[in-house]
Amino acid sequence: MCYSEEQIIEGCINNKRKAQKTLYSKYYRRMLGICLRYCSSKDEAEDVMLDGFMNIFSKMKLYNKRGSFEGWMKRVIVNTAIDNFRKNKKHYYHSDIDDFENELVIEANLLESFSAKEILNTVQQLSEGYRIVFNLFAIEGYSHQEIADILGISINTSKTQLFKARKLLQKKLIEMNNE
Amino acid sequence: MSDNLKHIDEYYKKHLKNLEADTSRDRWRKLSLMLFRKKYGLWIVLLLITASAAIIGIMSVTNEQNNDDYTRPGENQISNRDLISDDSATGSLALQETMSSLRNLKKYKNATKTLSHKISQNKKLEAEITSNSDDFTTGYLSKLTFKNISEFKISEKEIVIPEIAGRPDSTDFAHTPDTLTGNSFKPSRATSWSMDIYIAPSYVTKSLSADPIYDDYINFRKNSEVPIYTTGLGAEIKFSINKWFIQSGINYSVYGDNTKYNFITKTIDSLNCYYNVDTTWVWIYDPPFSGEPYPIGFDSVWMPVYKETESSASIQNRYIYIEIPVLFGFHTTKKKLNFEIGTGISFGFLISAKGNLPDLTNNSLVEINNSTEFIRSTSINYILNAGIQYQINKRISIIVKPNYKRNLSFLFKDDYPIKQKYSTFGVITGINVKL
Repeated sequence: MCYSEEQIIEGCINNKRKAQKTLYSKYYRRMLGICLRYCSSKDEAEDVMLDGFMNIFSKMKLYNKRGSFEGWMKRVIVNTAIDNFRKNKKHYYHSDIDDFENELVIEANLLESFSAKEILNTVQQLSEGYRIVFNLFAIEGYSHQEIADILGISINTSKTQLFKARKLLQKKLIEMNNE
Repeated sequence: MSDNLKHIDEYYKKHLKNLEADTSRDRWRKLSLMLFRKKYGLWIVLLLITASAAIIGIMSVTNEQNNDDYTRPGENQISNRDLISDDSATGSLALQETMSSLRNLKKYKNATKTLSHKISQNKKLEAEITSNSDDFTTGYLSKLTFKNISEFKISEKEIVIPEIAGRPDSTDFAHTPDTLTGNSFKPSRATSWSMDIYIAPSYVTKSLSADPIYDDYINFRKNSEVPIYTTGLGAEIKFSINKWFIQSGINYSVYGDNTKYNFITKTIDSLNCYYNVDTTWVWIYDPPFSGEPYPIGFDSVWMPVYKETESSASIQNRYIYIEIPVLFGFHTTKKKLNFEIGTGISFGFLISAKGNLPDLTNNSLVEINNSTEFIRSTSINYILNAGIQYQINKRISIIVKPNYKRNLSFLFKDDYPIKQKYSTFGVITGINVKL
């Protein structure tokens, strides 16, 4: 049976398992994709995704139906990933500053040959601090001010983390390209 | 920070922004379990607490019963007689042991009083008792150094009674106290646990009420809906104290009705509509107020014809609940038969609702499948059971219990104008297993 988005939302608000399963089945791939960017392994990403869906179901009443529902869900998932990051804050600062002594440049056209999985691997190999700042800034489109507020860090720290993340990613792409 | 790395951002955004990945199906199971825990976690915790409290309660009752049994003579335990004879013989019991024994003696105070009364009727025995007790009590009580020893209020006669058993030619009173007292040494409370496992074929009927403005609607539904037969299932734990019991568990109950709604819809029968030729003549003066009048006839009046279209819909409305009954009752046993009557309430949790409600305004049906827009997700019901158990062996009995259950809460929410309650008349049949 095909349900409309309104019916699914209504069902989820009323704790109907069928509606919850329909919602999960419809969106879990995309939500897992987001979680994979924020986590270092698939297992961790799956756990974050499940926590994210729990948050989605429990906060469904707060969805005001003005914006895109999927966009709202993605924000909840990203916030869950940020919460997960906060729990593991001990890994936050990981300086690889020595790696950035030499500026490396990679040709944009060479990068197209990598698969999404390979590209994702490079992000997952970043330390958690780099990864979350890079994701929030480069992919979600948050400003440094917003990142600083969300993560409780200074704007300069956010900029530094982003810079280092970019450098590391570039380095990894070059390495992959050379292999 | 240089901006010459911005292309990295673009590159990753392009490839990862809409990344999708698959996962195993058991992830939904895990999520489903998490949702279940969240929804029913509190209930589960409450249930566990209740069960733990009940277990602790019954253990304490059992322990108390065991303590009573501990002092029962003839069970390889310290009896009054043992105390006395040991004391008389050795003159030395450990203080703690003495205290423990005296506590037990206190518990049998009433029984021994009766015993001593009986004995007092026998002068010969009484004399012997008195003479023996003098020696004993002097030695026995002299060892007690507690300042509050008087609180035990043990009279010489009470202590000395078991000593009679030492007489070679006497009845072993200590081992057969019932023969003397005429009373049993049964524990003060007879408790037991058992479990009922049953099915309950039931006849489900309902009552409808509403504001008088909905009388037509109510009548339409009453004429279109018929009661149903359903089958419930359940398992309940029963805790009995003497002739009283409390019972709780879980059961699966189905309410509902079978319906056949006939809707009559009026529509214009365009084929049979006609012009009514009923000429109306009007005199026209042209020009007005002058000239010769001439008549004009209007002979065409549109006459619509309506046709009634009858449509019907047969629907099965079913509301399935998981219920937690809490019953209190009385039972009595006669040979292998146990008669019982119990009453209480049950708390129901809606797990499924399927059906339709008629909408007479539009002559259509409104689907209510699993909708909590109209239906309450919980219910409270009144229960009355009365029945018989037949014991087929030491542990298992067959139960047959006529059962009446009625909704105390309405099926629909308060803002829905129709008040609907179900009543069920059933026969619980199953087994009772002693735990």
